Amino acid sequence: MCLAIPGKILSVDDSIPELKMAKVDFSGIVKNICIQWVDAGEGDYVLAHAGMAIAVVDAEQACETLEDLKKLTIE
Amino acid sequence: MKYIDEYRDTEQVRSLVRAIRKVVTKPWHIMEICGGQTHAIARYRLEEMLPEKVRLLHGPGCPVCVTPVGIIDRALGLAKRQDVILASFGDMMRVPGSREDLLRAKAHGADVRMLYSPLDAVDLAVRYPDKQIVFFAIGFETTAPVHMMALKEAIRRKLDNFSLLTSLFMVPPAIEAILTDAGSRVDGFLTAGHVCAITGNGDYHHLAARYKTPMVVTGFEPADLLYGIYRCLLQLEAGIYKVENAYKRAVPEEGNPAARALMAEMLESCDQEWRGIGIIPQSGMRLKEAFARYDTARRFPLPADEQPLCDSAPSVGRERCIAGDIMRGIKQTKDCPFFGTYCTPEHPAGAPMVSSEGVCAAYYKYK
Repeated sequence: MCLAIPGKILSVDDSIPELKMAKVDFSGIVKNICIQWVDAGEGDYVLAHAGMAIAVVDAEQACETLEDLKKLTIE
Repeated sequence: MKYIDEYRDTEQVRSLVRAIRKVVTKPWHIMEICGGQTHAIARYRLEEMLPEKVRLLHGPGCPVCVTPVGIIDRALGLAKRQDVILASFGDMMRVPGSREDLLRAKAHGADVRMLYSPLDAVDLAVRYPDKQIVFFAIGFETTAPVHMMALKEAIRRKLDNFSLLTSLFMVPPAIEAILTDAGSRVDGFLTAGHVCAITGNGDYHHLAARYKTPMVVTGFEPADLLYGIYRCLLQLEAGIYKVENAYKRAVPEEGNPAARALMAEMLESCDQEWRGIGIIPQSGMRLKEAFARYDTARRFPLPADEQPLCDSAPSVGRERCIAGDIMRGIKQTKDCPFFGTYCTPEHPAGAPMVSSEGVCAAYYKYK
């Protein structure tokens, strides 16, 4: 139920200030997602749950985790 | 897919399993809370990769599974009204009430809609001004603010034919109930990444310190889950207990402030029944009095002759169904004599079998 899928913002529609929407690409499937709660724009990746972006994927932190995992391979 | 494929990499998974084998010296029980994580653990057969000493227990974090029978019956009753369109997530459609499920009601003519988002229900309210749109709003802290967003939008558009039938749960009180249970065997928790993406980690610091239990914020892909287990094991082996974030790309320490503010504005905590477990004090959320007119339960009071049902397992009988013990980590699915025979995903008897994210249904599908 609490699944949230990462997708890339293609365009933003902020014509309604209380309901900022975006077209988000989930590997080829494009959906309208509300981005009211996140500070994100075109090109950013967001985690979408039930039509809402609940978080912006933090690229720096994602790299850091992958680096940590790499270190485990070497050890 | 970016931010998914990297965390499904076979080599990555293998090296994590090797790292886990290296750190473990004692037997440990780790519980994941979220049903999405339970499903992924079964799907990728992660338990079979772990050393014997590390056992995973599967918690009660599937809101579809733990939604009480009484409220499902309430939804069914409403769906049958001519003036109502009952909408909810696809996962809710096959969950049995005491007599039938929503899909069957739909087959018999009820107007039941499956939606991806509660926001879509607001559009329904615009399109059908003569109908009452009831959204069956289930979920944990991840989904609760999305329901509130939909309600805010309905209010902004001055729609009076929109209401929420809520069945909302909170994770920290459930963790506390498990930790204070005399039969509990849980040594460490993987907390639900997407719940924390909303709430942040605040409550978990208090739980980790009070119950001397590690809490590791964990994601949903195989490498994420094994990394969460690895970090949890490092703490357990070293005798440390704290909150650690193994899902930093999605979870900032403070969560999502806008979503939290919306919940604080519109929702208040309440005692909540969990299917298969019973009532956990202050573990639920309901709309505040100011939004009572949008609360289906208060808008359409139950007729006096319709008593709400309260039973965890309608067919097997409460005393013989071990669903509650499974979700509290005291027993496992393999201990259940009804698994796969009397209780199946087609005819579920216990809560963890009713949705694909319940542990019994996940085992049934993948084992």
